[in-house]
Amino acid sequence: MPEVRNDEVEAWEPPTEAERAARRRRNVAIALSIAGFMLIVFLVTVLRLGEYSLARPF
Amino acid sequence: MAVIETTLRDEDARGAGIGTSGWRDYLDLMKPRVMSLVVFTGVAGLVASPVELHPLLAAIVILAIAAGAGAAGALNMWFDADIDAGMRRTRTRPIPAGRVARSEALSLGLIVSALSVILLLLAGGILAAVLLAFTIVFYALIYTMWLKRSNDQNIVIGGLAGALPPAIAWAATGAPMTLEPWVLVAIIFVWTPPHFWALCLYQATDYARVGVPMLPNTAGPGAARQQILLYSLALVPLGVTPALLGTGGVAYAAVSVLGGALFLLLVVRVWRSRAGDVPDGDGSIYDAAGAARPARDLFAYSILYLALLFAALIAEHAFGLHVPLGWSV
Repeated sequence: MPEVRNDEVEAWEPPTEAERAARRRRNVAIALSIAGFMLIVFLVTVLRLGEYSLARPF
Repeated sequence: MAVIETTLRDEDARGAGIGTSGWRDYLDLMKPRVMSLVVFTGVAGLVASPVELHPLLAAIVILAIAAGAGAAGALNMWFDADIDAGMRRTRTRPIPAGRVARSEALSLGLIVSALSVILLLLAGGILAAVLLAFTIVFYALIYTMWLKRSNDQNIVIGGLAGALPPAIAWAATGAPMTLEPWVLVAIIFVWTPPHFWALCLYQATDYARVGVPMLPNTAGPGAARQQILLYSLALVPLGVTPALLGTGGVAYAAVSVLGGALFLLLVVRVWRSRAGDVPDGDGSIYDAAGAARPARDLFAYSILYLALLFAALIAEHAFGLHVPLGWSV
């Protein structure tokens, strides 16, 4: 399993194709996670508003 | 209007580090097995509460609690990377194995901690969110950064973090924090020492090598076996208590009495054994040779025992099987 590398500023080498592909997959995963979090917050808001929760103490 | 074009080049990420890690590595950072236990005990707190939550809100509450526990796990792996690298049980974790950088674990832990508490604040209210934040801070700061490396009561006190999920879930329903959720917390809290010390009795060399003070190393295996017995004598009656309070019904009572009796039998077997007196096995979590086998058996059964208790509670409340004992207090 290739290890994390390029964490030293001086000894930098261009990423390999496998590393670029893994980075793209991680970026997609982060984007999906943010979108999922936003959707969940939206659903919670709708459900909580639906039961008039804002009218009672949290 | 001027258009500013920015192209991020690979060279701009000098020093940021790069690897081929995937989602599985980041999930491993969050200790999925611990998360599954947290989900299990959290669901028990949710279904046992007298106040019913909308199913979707309930799922989101459990997701937030699991994410908080996972974030605490990532912070633990960030801080303990040096210890993990020296132990056979943990050296294949993402950081010591080189699959994920420490800085990534720290970022993941901090971001998911914040998001999980915010989510629980929205879905379950302020008390549940405060309890989750306390759990994360207690596990990451008090247990990981302080107790684990300095005190042989580390897992006793630190066990509070792992014990709180039923109370967090109960609080999220808005029900009053009566005795019932705290009894569920107490069960997990008192269960933790015999569970962990049983493991330490046959993995003691690993902990000693990395300098983590565990009771079998600091006070000796005999003292650890005695402490396991004492904690278990408190645990088994505590395990039956939810049935007496009405949180658990007849099925729960049967499981807690029979399961507790078997737990005590295995504990007495460990107490009378020489577990911990001889060198460890080959390092796998369930590998133990000769004298250490009773400790291995207790470790494995302790997981099943806790799972059975909470599974009985969930089954009773979720599937309409809850028949309280006639003489519940």
